[in-house]
Formats: sequence, C-alpha cells, structure tokens
Amino acid sequence: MNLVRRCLSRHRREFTLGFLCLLATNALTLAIPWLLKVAVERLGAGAPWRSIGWLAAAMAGAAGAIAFIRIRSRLYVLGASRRIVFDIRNEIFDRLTRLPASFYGRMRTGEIMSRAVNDLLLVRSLFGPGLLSLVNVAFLYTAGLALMVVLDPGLTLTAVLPYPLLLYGVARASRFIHSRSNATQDALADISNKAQENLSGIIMVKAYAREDNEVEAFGSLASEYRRRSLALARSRGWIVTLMGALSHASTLAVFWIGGRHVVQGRLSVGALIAFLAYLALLTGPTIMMGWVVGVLQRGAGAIRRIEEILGIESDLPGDRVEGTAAPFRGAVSIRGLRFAFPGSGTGRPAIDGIDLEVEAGATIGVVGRVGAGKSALVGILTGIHRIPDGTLAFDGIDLNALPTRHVRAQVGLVPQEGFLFSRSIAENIALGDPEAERARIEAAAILAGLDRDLSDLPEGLDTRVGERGLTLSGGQRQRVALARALLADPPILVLDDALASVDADTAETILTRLRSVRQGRTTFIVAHRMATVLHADRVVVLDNGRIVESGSPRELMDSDGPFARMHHQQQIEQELETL
Amino acid sequence: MTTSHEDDPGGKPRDLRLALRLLPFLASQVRLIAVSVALLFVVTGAGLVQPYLFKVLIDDHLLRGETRGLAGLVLLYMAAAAVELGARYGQIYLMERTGQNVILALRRRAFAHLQGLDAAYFDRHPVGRLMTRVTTDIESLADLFSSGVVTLLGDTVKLLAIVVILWWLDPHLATVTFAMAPVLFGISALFRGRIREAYREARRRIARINVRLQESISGMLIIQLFRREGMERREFEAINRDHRDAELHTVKYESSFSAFIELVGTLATAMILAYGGWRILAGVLTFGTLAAFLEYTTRFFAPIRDLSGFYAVLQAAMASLERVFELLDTRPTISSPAQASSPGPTGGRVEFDSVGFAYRPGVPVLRDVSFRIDPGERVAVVGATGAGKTTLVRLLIRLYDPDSGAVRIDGRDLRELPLPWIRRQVTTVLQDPFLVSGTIAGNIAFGNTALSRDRIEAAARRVHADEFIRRLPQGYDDTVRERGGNLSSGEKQLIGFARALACDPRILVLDEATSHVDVATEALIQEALGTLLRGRTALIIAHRLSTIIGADRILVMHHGRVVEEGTHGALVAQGGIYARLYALQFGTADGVVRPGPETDLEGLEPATDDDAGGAAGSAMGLPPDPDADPTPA
Repeated sequence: MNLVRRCLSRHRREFTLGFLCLLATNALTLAIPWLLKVAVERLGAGAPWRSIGWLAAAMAGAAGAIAFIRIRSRLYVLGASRRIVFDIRNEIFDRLTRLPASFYGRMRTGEIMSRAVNDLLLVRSLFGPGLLSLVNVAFLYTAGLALMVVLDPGLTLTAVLPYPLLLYGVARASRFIHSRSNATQDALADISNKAQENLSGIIMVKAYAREDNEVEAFGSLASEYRRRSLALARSRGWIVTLMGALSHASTLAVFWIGGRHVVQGRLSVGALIAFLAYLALLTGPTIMMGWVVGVLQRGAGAIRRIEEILGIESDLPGDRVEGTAAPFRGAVSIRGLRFAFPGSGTGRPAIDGIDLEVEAGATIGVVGRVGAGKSALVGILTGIHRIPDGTLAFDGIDLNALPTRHVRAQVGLVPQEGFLFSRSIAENIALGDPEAERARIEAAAILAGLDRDLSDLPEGLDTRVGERGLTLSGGQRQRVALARALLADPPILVLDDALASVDADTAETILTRLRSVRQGRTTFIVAHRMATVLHADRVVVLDNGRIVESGSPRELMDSDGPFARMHHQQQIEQELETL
Repeated sequence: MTTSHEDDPGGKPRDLRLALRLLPFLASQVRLIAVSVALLFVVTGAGLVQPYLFKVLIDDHLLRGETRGLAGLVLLYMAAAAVELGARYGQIYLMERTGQNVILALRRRAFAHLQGLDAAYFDRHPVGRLMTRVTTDIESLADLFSSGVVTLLGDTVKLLAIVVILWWLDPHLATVTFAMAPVLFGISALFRGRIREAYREARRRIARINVRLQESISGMLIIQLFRREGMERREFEAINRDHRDAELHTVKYESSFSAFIELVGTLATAMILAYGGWRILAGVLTFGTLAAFLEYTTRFFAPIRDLSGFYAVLQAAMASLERVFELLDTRPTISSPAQASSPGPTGGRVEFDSVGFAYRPGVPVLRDVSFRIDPGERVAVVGATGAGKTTLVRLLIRLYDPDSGAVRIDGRDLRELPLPWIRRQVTTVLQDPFLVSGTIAGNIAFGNTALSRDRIEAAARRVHADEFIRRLPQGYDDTVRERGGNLSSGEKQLIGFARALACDPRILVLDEATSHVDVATEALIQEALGTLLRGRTALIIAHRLSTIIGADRILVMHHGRVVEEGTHGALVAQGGIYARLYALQFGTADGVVRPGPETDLEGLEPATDDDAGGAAGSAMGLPPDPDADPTPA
C-alpha cells in the first residue's frame, strides 16, 4: 500500500482542498433544512411575507454557493484521481521498459494490459468517487446526526433505530450480490469460452455434423446464464425493496412519534419537516456505503496487482553495471555455456555446454533444426538472457561486467519476426537512432534490398505500416528489420533466420551486399536454409543445445554429416518446387 | 480487454427498422410485458399518493392538533409504501425476465446461425469478432430492457400524472414548477451532448493508449535492443497525458452538470416556498399543500433528468443490434438441397471428376483433379506442402464446393445430397484432433450425447487409447484442458482415432499428423490406424512411410494436379516426383527404403500446428509459452 501513500501525498493539496470544499457544501446543504424550518415556523407564527422572502433569498444564495463549491470539490478530488491514474500508468510503462525477457516470458501481454487498463479503472474509482463518497458520508453522518439531536434527541433515537440494521443489511447484501454477480460473470465467461472453442474448431464441428449438439450445449450454457442473471436481479430487487422498507419505516416512526410531539406542542411543525429532511439526507449515503465498500476493496486488490509489477527488478547483471565501455572490436568467446529458459519446466537446457571462439571480423553460420538452441544463443549474444559469469566475453570482457545498453548498442540483431511498429517505414528503420539523416536511412533500406518495394509503396519510406497502416509481407518486414539493424552499423551483427521469408534470389543478392559492407566486422548468420551460410568462414551445427559439427562450409559438405544431409534435402526440395 | 475498434462510436441514430426486427422476439413475451406495464401504473400511483397523504397529515392533523384518524392515515401511508415497493419489485423483475428471455432467444439464434455458415466465412472473419456477436453485442440489449424501455414509459406516465396533480393542488404554484421544467430540460440537453462527446473523446484516447501499450509490450524486446526506452516513455507519456486531459474534461462537465441540476432543484424549492408562503398568508393555500407540493416537485424533476440519458443507452443497443442482425442476414452458400431425401448408407465409392478449385480467384489450388476410390480401397495422397492435399479433404466433406467439375459419392454429386448425411458417411480425422475442454469421454463422443459410455470405451480400447486413459487419475472422466494441453501429441491422436471409430463411418478421410512421438507410441498409433482403416474406403493424406507403403494406391499431387498414380514400388521405379519426394522425406537420395521412419535431423518439415506454439514462443529468444507446454502434466 506504499503506492496509496505515495499517490495521496503527491496530490495532498488537491485532496485537502477538495475535502474542505466538501465540508463547506455539506454545511450549506444542512443549512437548507434549517432555513426551511425557520421559514415554516415564521409562517405558522404569522410573520410578514417579507421576512420569508429573505429566507427564500438566503436559500437561493446557499444553493448557488453549494453548486459552485460542489463543482470545486469534485474537480479537486476527481481530478486528482485522474492525475493519479496518469502517474501510475506512466510508472507502469516506465517499469515495463526496464523489465527483461524473462518477465515477458512469464507474463502474457493480456495480463499486463489488464493491469495497465482495467486495474487502473478500479484505482480511479477508489481515489475518485470512492474516497469522495467515503468522506462525504462521514461528514453528513456527523453533522446530520448532531443537528437532529439538537432538534429532538428522543426523535433522533427513534429515527436512527433502523440504521444499524440498514448498515448491516447493506454490508451483508453487497457481499451476497457480489458473489452472485461473480457467478453471473462466470456464466458469461462460460458462454464466451464455448463460443471461442466452437468457432476455433468450426471445421471439426462441421466435419462431424455436430452443429445441433453444439447449439444444444451452447443453449444450455446460455440458459444457465439467464438463470443466474435473474437470480442476481431478484436479490438486487429484494435488497432495494428491503432498504426502501426500512427507510419508510424510519420515516413513519418519525411521523408517528414526531406527530404526537407536534400535537402536544413539544415540537414545531417546522422542526418536524427539517427533521424529515435530515433523515432523507442520511438514507442515500447509507445505501451508498455498500457500494463504497466494494469500490475500496476492489481498488485495494488492483493496487496490489499493480505494485506487483512495479516491484519487479531486472534480473540481468548488466542492468546494474554503471558507466560506459569501449566499442567492441568484435571477438566473441563462449566457454562452457549452459542455459535453460526460466520456467520451461522440462528442465532440459536450451544450451547444454557450448564452447566457441570467434575472432573479430569473422562470419559464423549457425544451423540446426527447430529447438536445437539457435534462438537461445541469439538471445544470449544480444544480452537478452541471464547467463552465469565467465561463459560469454566480448573482446575478453565478461558480458555480466558490461552495461546491457552498451552490449545492445554494439551487438545488432535482425530477429526472425520482423516486428514493425505502426509508424512510417523510415521511423521503423531509424528506431535506434531517431536523429538519423534521411540519406543514411535510404542507404540502409537499399542495402536491405528494400529499394524495389519502396518504389511500389504509395509514399515510399514515409508509408505507414502495421495497425491502421499498410500490411507488409513477411519478407518485406524482415528486410525493414534488417535495414533497422544495418543503420547502426554495429561491430557485431546477428541475423536470426532473418531472410527465411525472403525469396531465395533476393536473399542471395542481400547476402552478397552484406558481405561487402560487413568486411572486417563480426557477423552471425543463424539460418534454416543451408544456402545462406555457404559463404560463412565457419559453420556450427547445433542439436539439442550442443555443437554437433563445426568447420568451414566446404569441409562440412564433404564430411557427409548432418549439414551435408540437410543441404542435400533442401536442394531436392528446391528442385521439386521448380518442377 | 477494452481494445475494440468496433465500439468506436459512430454517433448516427439507428433505424427504427432495427427495433422493428426485435418485435418477433418480443411477441412471445407479450404477457410478461403486459403485466410489467400494468405494475408500472401501480408503482406510479402508489408513489404519488404518498405526498398527498403527507399534506392531509399536516393540514388536518398536525396543524389542528387532531390525533383522531392519525393512526389510520399512517397505516394508509404504510400500505401505499408497501404497495409501491412490492409492485416495483415485480415490475423490475418481470422486465428483467423479459430482457433475459429475448437475449437467450437471440443468442441461441445467432449461435445456431453461425453453425450453418460456410467454412469460407470463417476464413474471412476472425474468431474474436464473431465471439463478440454472441456475447457482448447481444448483452448490450440487457441495459435496454433493465433501464431503457420501461424507464421511458414509466417516466412519461409519471410526468403526466404529476402535472395533473400539481395543477389540481394549486394551478398558480404549479406554473412555478412548470416554468423550471424547460430550464432543467435545457440544461440536461446542453450538458448531455457535451458529456457524451467528452466521454467519446476519452474512449477514443484510451483506445489509443491500449493500442500503443499492446504494441509496445509485444515489441518491448526490440525497443530495448535498440535502446529506445527513453523515447518510448516520452511518447507514451504524451498519449497518456492526452487521455488524462480528456478525462479531466469529462470530470469538469459531469461535476458542473450535477451541480447545476441540484441548483435548479434548490432554486425551485426556494421559489415555491417564497411564493407559496405568500399565498398561505393570503389564505389561499394550506400549509400541507405546500409541503406536498414540494415533494411532488422533487419527483417531477427526476424523470426529466433521466430522460436525456435514455438516448445513449438506446444508441449503444442499436449499434450492437445492427451487427447482430447483419450476422443473421448472412446466408450460407453451401447448404443441403431443398428436397434432398437421405439415401441409405453409402456403398463407399468416392469420385473426383475434373475438379478445379481456388480459395482466392486467380490462385488455383486444384486443377482438373480426377480420381476414383472404390469401396474398401485405401488410397494415400502424397505431395509437397501446398500441393492441394488438404483441399481434397475439404471438398470431400463439402466444406467448400468445387469451382468446376464435381465430387461424387456413389456416383451422386455432393451438391444433391443432404449435408449431415455426407458428413456422417465420411468421417474426417484431422492432424490436430481439436480437443475441447471437458472430459476424455466427452472428447471421444464429441458432442454426440446419444453415444453410450460402453461404446466410447469400446472405441478407445480398439485404438489402444484405453491404456493411457485408465492411467489418468480420473480415467475417462479426467479433464482435458483447452486444446488438450495436458496430453501428449500421440495421446491426442489416439483420442482423435477413437472419436472417428465411434462414428463407425463407411468412408474415412485421414490427414495424418506429422508431429513426432516416441517409438512406443508410434507403434501404438500404427496399430490403431490399422484398426481404424479396416474394411473402410479410405483417403489418407499420408506422411508416414508405413502408411504410404500399406496403401492400395498412391496419388502424387504436385501444384494442384495429380501427376503420378500407382503402388509404391511402381512409383519408385518410375523415378519421377514420388521418387524425389520419397528421397526428400526419408533421407534416401537413392530411393532405397531404409528401416526407421525418420531421419535424426528433421529440419525440413514445415512447422505443424503442434510445433507452432513452441516456435512462436521461441521466436526472439523468448522462453516457450508456459501454457503451451506440450509435455503431459
């Protein structure tokens, strides 16, 4: 609940002013029945109309003041709740940008989104209407009860007699309603899941001609939902009715006893009317309390979930290394590297003991089937995963002793999935260097083989892509990602199967261009397609997290090992395609 | 998630036509509606009599010091309150019931309609959007019933009644109240429009936050790799600030609105009090009447305030209804012929006659495909990915119609046969058995409630699934997680076999799974396959060497055509495409059959559905999706 304290203290001024305004409106609101009482009493006593006129004017004035101050109080408190949401959302985003891959592997996008969106709505209700109502009720109760006691202590006792019952009832009922409403939501979720399952497997449903059974099954879920909705409606109805009955009972008791007091001359008619007005003021907030308690509870839950995210720290040692380091020359040394994805369950390491020395400027091909450990190796080289000290060094300096941001500046990555943000292509290419001049962006695009595609696009480099923009093909996306990495011209470049969706001829052209610009700089080419690594200085074949074959492409081709077999198969495959 | 582009508020008032289309659904609810409306009058009446009793109490008793009849009056008041509360409960409940009945009917109708739509329709429409139709869209009708329709009616009735009463009590004083009404209505109308617009803007901006968040979270590793965190934070803060400002706008309007409404109410009270006081002094008004008058005035203002809120509810419901009816208006192009009589069980002869087909115009998938499968014959189809193999299956169970040529069973064009008949004669086993949440037994029955437990277990026994099922904690009643997350791929296949066998079809179509299983399971699957195929006409999209060799005939598909046909030996000898494919799949360039179904390095087969979860998770070096872990728990 650290967060709550921080939010409250950061907006101390707004909350203080807001609550002061609230106090003022309540005082004025309570004054109106009092004025009413005085007016009625004077009328009864035959006072001149003029004095009543003044009272009416005073009431109008009070009403105006109430309106004005109430607006202020709501602006302060509700405004603060919006500002708090703004602050927390920024904090969440800030934290998200600092969390490592292990976090994103653990928590799904939907879950994170739900905290940054749905949970914040609950926080908003907590600090806005929740807090406002809570304070309001407290004020009204204290002042209202005090005034009622002044008017007639005995009558007050009678009037508030049902209130403990009312409060207790509201609390019990709101819990009951809450559980029934959860049950209804569950039933709706069942409907949703059924629809999702059915629609995803609609082909199977059709193939087995089970449409009628499905309609039947869905229908019974929908009926269950109807049943629960109606049960919820019934309990809501009962509660409203009971509350109404209790507050009527209270009013009647006041009539009954107060009426006698008036007749006996112990109480003026005006005081009775004022009394009833106060009573009416208390009924609403009492019924509100059930709702307020719910809002506070749900808000507290949301805050716990948000604090959970805000409390996570990056597990990468490099994130805690301060200062800067020299640019890499490009030598990479891997010794006895082992790595398992956190929480992968099976316990089988993705990298199971790798030794690899790469001299600066070399081009290394990495091949192997799906799950051989290629992607894990790529993640490790780019400083995404946490690995033990002494297993990976750049130019002889251990990875864990280098600032992560420095490693990422020095090791460029072209990932398998060409992930594009919904911006222009130029902005996507200049992602790591927003200041890059146009000419450099264009050069990178040409290098990545995007030139022809760009001239076909409506606005060339300025074409918007992604959501609400143009959809690029897989191959085009990969080449934009390639251009993005090439723009920085990093000392070490890792291509993670980056040309898989690009057709063979274009891939060949791009590789040829790359060879000339990457002269003297270290490049890792991780590939599925063997042809891609045929020009590498050295190729390592991974299987089950180990290097099973290593050597120059020529040597491997001649050895009749896994590399030669895979290459042969791919040749046949390609041959078949062209038949 | 609230990121829906569909709830982007269009703001156009919907046609009355839509509301009219709801009428058939309302027709069956006429009695509920009638009772509810009748109760509404009772509620209004009992509610309005209370202030009058109040007036009598003050004028005739309190001011005169008259205690006689006081008890009666209080009892009367109590009775009125009780009647009002009771009737209101009944009225609200009945209306809610009406709404739920309509929702249930509409939901069933929409779901049933979806079941009948073409496979092609589902290719075009994402599951998420279709789900919204049967869930949220229909749900929005609930508001219309629980508040909208009746509120409108109730408010109108109440307003009219109060006008009459006020006039009857004191026409002069009534003019004061009536004079405030347009002011109140004007303020409501003025503010409601702005408030609605402000909320719409806030929703638009939160949608932008959602889109941005979603994108940033998915691309966070790229952001970090390119050290763009600071820039992203600044940009996010800007979007976030825009949203906050829009929110503050809504707060401003909302706060002012409620305060103004209150102000008008208090002012009206003050004016009535002043004018009423003067009239009391003049002796033309009683004190009790004034008190009653104030009470009626409060009740008069409430509905005016609510009335303007009704429009927003109506608008949202109409937008949703439009989408639901649009779905109901979609007609399937593939359906049973009008007067199709169900023929008896099929003899089991299948024929493709010069079949041509394209999913998208201009990109043919099948070209002039002709072949015949005789009753009891087992035919294997082989070919590279994209050769059109799966499409054969889809056409044979008439998920799609061929663009040219015809598919026949027993010599009759599928288009002349009832759809359920076709799909009962031809049972399909797909690569992904598509397990649904529920029990193992339920997955074998796959919705066929008529299937007895004995037959379910018998089917499982015959395909050797019984052994592993019995080992599960709850056996046949063990729960299957979504998409069979707690079962291995071999186990899932066996369940798929049992499901097919339980249908006991004459014709079987099998898309053999390519996922890798251990040697023992592989042997089980081979045996189970033998049982499944025995005595049936079979079309198999084959991936396993043993299946191909065991077939009576092999069809080789290439670029949408059948290019070779014959037995394994003949085709290998022929040295054509089959010989190459064979070498490709089984690692023998020379065409010599080597023992063992797989090579040790299988890098070529494109990722199947089973692999896809893992592959997507490991893209970008992310650890595998925790929930997609295929290892049995």
